[in-house]
Amino acid sequence: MREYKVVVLGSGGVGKSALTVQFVTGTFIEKYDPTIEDFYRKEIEVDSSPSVLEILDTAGTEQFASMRDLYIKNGQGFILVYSLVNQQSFQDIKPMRDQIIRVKRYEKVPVILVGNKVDLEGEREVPSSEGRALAEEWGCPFMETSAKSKTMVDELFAEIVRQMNYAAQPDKDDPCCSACNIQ
Amino acid sequence: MIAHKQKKSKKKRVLASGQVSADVTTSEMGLKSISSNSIFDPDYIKELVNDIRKFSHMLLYLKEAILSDCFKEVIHIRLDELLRVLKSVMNKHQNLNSVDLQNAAEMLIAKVKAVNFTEVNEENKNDLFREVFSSIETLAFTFGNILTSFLMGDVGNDSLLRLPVSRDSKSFENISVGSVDSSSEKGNFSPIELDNVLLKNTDSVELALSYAKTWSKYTKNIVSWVEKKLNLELESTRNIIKLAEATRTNIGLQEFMPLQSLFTNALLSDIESSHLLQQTIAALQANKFVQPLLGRKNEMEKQRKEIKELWKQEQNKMLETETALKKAKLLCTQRQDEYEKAKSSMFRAEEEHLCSSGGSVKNINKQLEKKRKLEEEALQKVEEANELYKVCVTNVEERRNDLENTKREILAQLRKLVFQCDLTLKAVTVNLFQMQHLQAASLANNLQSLCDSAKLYDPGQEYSEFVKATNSTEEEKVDGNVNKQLTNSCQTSGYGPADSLEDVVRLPDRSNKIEEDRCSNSADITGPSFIRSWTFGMFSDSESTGGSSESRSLDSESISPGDFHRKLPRTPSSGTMSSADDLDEREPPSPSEAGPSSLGTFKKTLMSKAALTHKFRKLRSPTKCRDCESIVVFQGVECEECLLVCHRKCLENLVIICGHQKLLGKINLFGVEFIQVAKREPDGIPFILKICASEIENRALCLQGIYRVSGNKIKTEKLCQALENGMHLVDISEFSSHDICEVLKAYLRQLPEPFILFRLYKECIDLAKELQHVNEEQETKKNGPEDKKWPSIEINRILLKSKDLLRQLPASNFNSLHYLIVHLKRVVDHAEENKMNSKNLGLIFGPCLIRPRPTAAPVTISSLAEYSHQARLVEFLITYSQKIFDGSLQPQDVGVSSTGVVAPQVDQGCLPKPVLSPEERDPEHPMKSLFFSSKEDIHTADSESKVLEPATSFEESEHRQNALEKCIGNKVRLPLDQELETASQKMDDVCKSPKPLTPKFDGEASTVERHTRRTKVMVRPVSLPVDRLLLASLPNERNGRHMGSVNSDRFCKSPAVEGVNRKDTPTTVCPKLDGGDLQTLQRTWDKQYEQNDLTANTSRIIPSALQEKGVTTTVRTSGDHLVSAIEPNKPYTDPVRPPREVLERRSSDSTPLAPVRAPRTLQPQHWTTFYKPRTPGSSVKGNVERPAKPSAAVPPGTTHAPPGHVVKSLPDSESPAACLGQPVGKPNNNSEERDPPDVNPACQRPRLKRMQQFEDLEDEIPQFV
Repeated sequence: MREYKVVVLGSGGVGKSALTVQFVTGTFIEKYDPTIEDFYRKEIEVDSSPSVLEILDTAGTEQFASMRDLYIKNGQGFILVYSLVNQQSFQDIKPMRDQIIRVKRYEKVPVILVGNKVDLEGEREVPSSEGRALAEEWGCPFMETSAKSKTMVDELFAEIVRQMNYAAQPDKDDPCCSACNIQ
Repeated sequence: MIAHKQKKSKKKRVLASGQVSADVTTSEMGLKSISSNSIFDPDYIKELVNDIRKFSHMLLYLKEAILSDCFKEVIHIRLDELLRVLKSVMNKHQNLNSVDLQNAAEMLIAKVKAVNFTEVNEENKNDLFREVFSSIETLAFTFGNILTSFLMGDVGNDSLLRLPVSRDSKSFENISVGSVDSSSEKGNFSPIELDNVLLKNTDSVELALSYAKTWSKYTKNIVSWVEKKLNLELESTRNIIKLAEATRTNIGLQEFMPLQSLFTNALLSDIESSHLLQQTIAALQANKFVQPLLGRKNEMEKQRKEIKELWKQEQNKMLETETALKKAKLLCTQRQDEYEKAKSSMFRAEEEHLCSSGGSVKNINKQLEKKRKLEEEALQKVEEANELYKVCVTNVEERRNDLENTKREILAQLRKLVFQCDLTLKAVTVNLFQMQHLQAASLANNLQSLCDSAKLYDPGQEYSEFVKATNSTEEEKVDGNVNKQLTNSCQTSGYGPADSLEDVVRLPDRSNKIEEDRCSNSADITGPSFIRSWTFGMFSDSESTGGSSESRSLDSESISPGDFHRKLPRTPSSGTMSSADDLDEREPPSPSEAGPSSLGTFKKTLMSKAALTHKFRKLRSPTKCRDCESIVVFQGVECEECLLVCHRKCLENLVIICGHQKLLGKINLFGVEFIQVAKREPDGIPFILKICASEIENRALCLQGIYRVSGNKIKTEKLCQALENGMHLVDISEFSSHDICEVLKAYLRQLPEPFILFRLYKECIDLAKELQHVNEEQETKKNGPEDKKWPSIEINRILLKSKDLLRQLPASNFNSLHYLIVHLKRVVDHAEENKMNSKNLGLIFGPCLIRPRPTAAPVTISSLAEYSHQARLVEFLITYSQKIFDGSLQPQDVGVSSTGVVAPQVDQGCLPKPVLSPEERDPEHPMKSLFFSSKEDIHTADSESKVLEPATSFEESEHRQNALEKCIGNKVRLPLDQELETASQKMDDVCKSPKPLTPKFDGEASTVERHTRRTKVMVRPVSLPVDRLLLASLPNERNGRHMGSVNSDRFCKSPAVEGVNRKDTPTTVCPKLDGGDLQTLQRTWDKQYEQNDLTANTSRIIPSALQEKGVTTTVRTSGDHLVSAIEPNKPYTDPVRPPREVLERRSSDSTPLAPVRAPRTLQPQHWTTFYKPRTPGSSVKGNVERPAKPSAAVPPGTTHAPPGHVVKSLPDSESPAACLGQPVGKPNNNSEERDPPDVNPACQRPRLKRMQQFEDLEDEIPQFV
C-alpha cells in the first residue's frame, strides 16, 4: 500500500484544520484554535488502489512560518489553502508555493490550490476566476471547497493522491524526487 | 401658423449660424460664457429646438381652441399650458428671457380675459377674437425676434433686457395666477346661470359628463399619489423610530456626554412625532383623505353613468318622436296630394256632365256622384292626416320640452355632483395639508426649542462634570494636562489676538469628543473662532472612537492603552505625541495650518488624513522624500513645522502626522534591541506597542480572528517603514486591523531578545511544564466546580512562581510585557465575538514572547515541543493577568536605583527556585538537552551527564549575565565595587557549600589565574577517574547548580569579564579555522553530544585530556575571578569528544529519546513512518546529526564553505553564543583552542540552516525510515 505524505499549507484561519479533520473524521470542527502542527493518517481508495494518506496539518500563523521549510522537505504533495472570503489569504498563498518550489528545487511538485469556505458565498472576496487563473499559471488543479458543508473535501484528497501518482511516474529518476518517492 | 413657420426657418438658422454665434455678446461675460458654451453644444441646440417646437405647438393649440369651440375653459387651459411652456423655455434658455416677450404674453392674457364668452356666437366670433389672435401673433413674432437675435449673437446689446430668472418667473406666476383667477371669476356664475349657459349649448350634457369623467380620473391620480406618499412616509417613520430607539439606548450608556439630554430629547421627540405621524397617516388613509375621496369618486362614477344612460334614453325618445313627426308630415302631404287628385277628377267629371247635357245623363250623374264621394273621402283623409301631423308636432314639441327639462335636470344633477365632489375634495385636501402642517409645525417647534437649548450649552461643561465625578487624582492629572497643554498650545500657535487666545484657552480642557460637539454646534453660534474650530471638527471626527475609549479606560484602574495618553505627563519638548488623541487636542490652536489657505494649491482630496495636519510649503532644496525615500527635486513640499519633506504625489499616502517640531530621523525599530526604543519612553514601553494596542482596542476587539488572520504583506511592510520613519506620529488609523496586528506580531517576533529574556526561558518552560502537569492532574481528577472557581493551590503556586520569574525582568521589559498581556486580556474578554481565547492568543504570542536563544533557531521540529510550552505559559499569563500583573508598572529608571532592585530580585528568583523545583527539574534536563542544539544546551548536557554540574544554574547565569550586559549597554553602570563585593561573598558561600567538589576547586581557584583553566582541565581528567568523577559530582549536583548560578551571576556582572569575552570571540574564530580536523571533530561532537546520555559523556574525558595536551597556545587573560574555579569541569568537557564514539552512539540514541514527543500529535505512532523528526528525540537527531555528519565528512576547509551565510547569520548566532559560551568557558579554563569548539556550533548553526534549505537531506531520511 502506497503512502502519501500530504502537507496542508495556507495562512492563518483559512480552514486547513477544518478541511483535514473533515476529511479524516467526517466532522466539522467549530473551534477556532490555531494549529501548531497536527498529523493525521487515513486510508482511502483512489482509482481503485488503496493508499494511505499521511496528512500534516500545519500552522498558518506567521509565528510558525519558520517550520515551513521542514514541512515542505518532508511532504510529497501539497494542498495550498486560502479562504475565498479573505483576499489576503489568497495573496499569502503565492509565496508559499514559491517556497515549495525553492525547497524542492523542482517545478512540478504535486500541488493543489484550494479556495475554502465556499459555503460563505455571500462574503466571497476572491472570485473563482482568480483562483482558476492562478492555478493555471501554476499548472495545478484548482478546487473550491467547504469544510463546513463537506463540499469537494474527499475529491480534494483524492485529487492530490492522483497528482502525486502522476508526478511520481515520469520523474522517478529525478534526484530531487528520490526522497519523495517511496520505493 | 406664420409664427410657426418663422420658427421653423429660425431653427434652421440656428444650425447654420454656428460661427456667427461664436462672437456672441463679447461685452457680457456671463452671457458670453453661457452662449459660447451652449451654442457649440449640439445637445443644447437640440434641446432649444425641441422647446421652441413645443412652444409653437402650444400656440397652434390655443388658436385651434379659439377657432373651433370657443369654450372659455378650454381656451383658458390652453392658454395656461402655453404660458407654462413659455416659462419653462425662458427658464431653460435664459438668453431668450426678455421684457418684450413678457409684455407680449401679458397682452395675450389680457386679451383673452377681455373676451366675453357669453356673447360668443358664430357671427361675432371672429370679431371678438380678432384681438386675441393679433396678440397671439405678436407673441409669436416677439419670440421669433428674440430667438433670431439670440442666435445672431446680439442679445446682449439689445434693448431687450435679460431679466433674472427669479423675477421673471415670479411675474409669470402672477400672470398665470391672474388668468386662473379671471376664469374663476367668470366661472362664478350662480348655479342657474351656469346651467343656462350650458343649456344654450347643444352637447352641454356630454360636456358636463366628460368633465365629470376627467374629474374622477384626476381624483384617482391624486388619491394614488397621496396613498403612495403616505406609504413611503409610513415606512420611513417606522425606520426613524427604530433608529431613534436604538440610538437612544446607545446614547444612554455613555455618561457625561455633552448635550446628551438634548439629544435624548430630540430622539424622544423624534419618536413621538413619528408616532404622531403614523397616526396622521393612518387617519389620512382612513377617513380623512383617501376614503372619502375614493367614495366620492365612485359615487360620481356611478351617477355619471346613470345620467349618461338617462340622457341617452331621453335622446332616443326624442329621436323617435321626431321620426314620428316626419312620418306624419309625409302622410299629410300624401293625403293632400290624393285629395287634390280626387278633387280635380271630380271637376273634370262635372265639366263633362255639363258639356254632354242630354245624352246619358244618368251615367254622368252616377260618375259625378262617384267622383264627389271620392273627393270627400280624400278630403277626409287629408283632414285626418293633418290631424295626425298636428298631433305629431305637438308630440315633438312636448318631447323637446321634456328633453330640455331632462337636460336641465341632468345638468343640475351633474353640477350638484361636481359641486359635492369638489366639496369633498376640498375638505380632504384641507385635511391633508392641515395635518401635514400640524405635523411640520410641531416638528418645527421642537426643532426650534432643541436649537435654542443647544445654544445654551456651555462647551466643556459636561467634561468638567465628568472630571468632577471621577476621583480627585484623576482630576489632578487632567489639570496637569490642561496646563501643559495650554502653554504648549500657546507656544505652538503663537496666537496674538485676544479672541483666538481665548479660544485656545478654552479648547485644551475638553476632550476631543466635546470639541467635536462644539464644532457641530458652531453652526448655530456665530463668531470667527467657532468657524475656525469647525474646520477641525472635520479632522477630528475619525478619532471620536478614540476619545470614547479614553473615557472608558479611565474607569478601569488597570493600565489600558488609552490610559497612557492621559496618565503620562505630556512632554511637548520631546515631540512625542503618542496618539491621535494628542493630535486632536493639539491641533485646535493652530487651525489655519490645516486650512486650504496654507495648503495653497494642493488639493485636499489628494492628501491623506495625516498629510492634512502638516503645513506645507514648496521645497527649497532637493532632499529625500520621507514617504517613498527617493530623492525629491521638483514637485516636493516641506512642512514648515516639522520639516518633513515629501513628494507632492506622496501626500496621498503620507501617514506621518505633523509633530509641530523637527521630525526626528529614521530609527531602527524592527529587529533592533527592544531597549533602544523603550528607553525613549518614560515607562519603557515601546511606542509601537502602545499605538498598535490602543488602535486595536479602539476598533477591532470584536473582529474575528484578530491577531490570527494575517495582514496584507505590502501594507504591513509600509506600516513598518512608516513606524520606523515617523514613530509616534504615524497615523495608523488608515491601516486595517489585521495589518496592525501583523506589525505588532512582526515587531515582537523580530526582537533580538523577547520581552521574556533568554535567561528566563528555561524557567519559563519549566513553569509551563509544571502548569501542564497541574492542568492534566486537574483534568484527570475532575474534582468538580469548586476547583475551577478558585485557582487551585498548585495554580497559585505557579502564579507566585511566575510572578517571581517576571520580576526578574528589567523594568521596561516587565512593563511592556504587562502592557501587552493586559491588552491581550482585553482581546480575550471579547472572545465570544473574535473567537480568540487565551489559548489561541497564547499560541500566537508564545513564540513572540518566550523563545530560546536564537542559536536554537535553525528551525528544527524539536522546537515544536517548545511551542506548546511557550503557548501554554502565555495563555496562563493572559488568563491570570490580573493576578500576575496586580501591581502597577515598574518605574523605568533602570539607572542606579534599579541595580539595587534587580540584584535582590535575581537572588530571590534564583534561590527559592532550587528549593521548589529540583525534583521537577531533574527529569527534564536530559530532555532539554536533547531539544536544544544550542550551545547552552551542550553545556547543560555536559554538566548534567558528566559531572552533574549546575547546568541550569549555569545557563541561568549566562542569561543573567547576558541581560546585565545589555543593561550595561543601556547605560546601567553597576557600581563595580559593590558588585564585586557581593560576588566575592557569594564566592565564599559557594566555597563553603559544595562538599566534595568545592574543596578541590577552592584550592585551584585561589591560585588560578585566567589561563589556569587549562591546567585545571589537564588536572581534572587526570586526577579524577571518570567513574569517580561522575559519582562524586552526582550528589553535588543540586547544590552546585544553585551555587553556580549565584556565583556566575555575580561575576558576570562585572564589566571586565564582559570585555574579555567580547574580545575573545573574534580571535577564537580564526584559530578555529586552522584547527581543521580537530574542530570538525569537536563540532560533530557538540552536535552529537546533545543526545548523549551520561555514559556517553563519561567516556570522553580521556580524549579530551589528550586533546588538551596537544594544544599549547594559551591566552593570558588577567583572571580576576576566583569564581571560575567552580565551573572548570564544564568547559573542558565540551570540546573533548571522540568522534567515533559519537558515531556509534548516534544510532542508539534515538530510542531512549522517543518517548518525548510533541503533545499535539494525534497519532504519534506514525511519526516514525512519515515525520521522523517530529518526535523530539528523533527530531533532534535529525537536525543535529544531519549537520554534523556532513561537516564531519567534509574536509575542514569546507566546513566554512558558505562564508556568506556564516557571516550573515553571525550577528544572530554568534553574539549570543559569545555571550553564552564564552563568559563561562573563558574565565574558567578554556584556552584558545577550547573556544573554537564552543564558538563553532554557533557559527555552524546558521550554515546548517542553510544547508537544510539547500542541500539534499534525502539521504538522511532513509536513515530514519
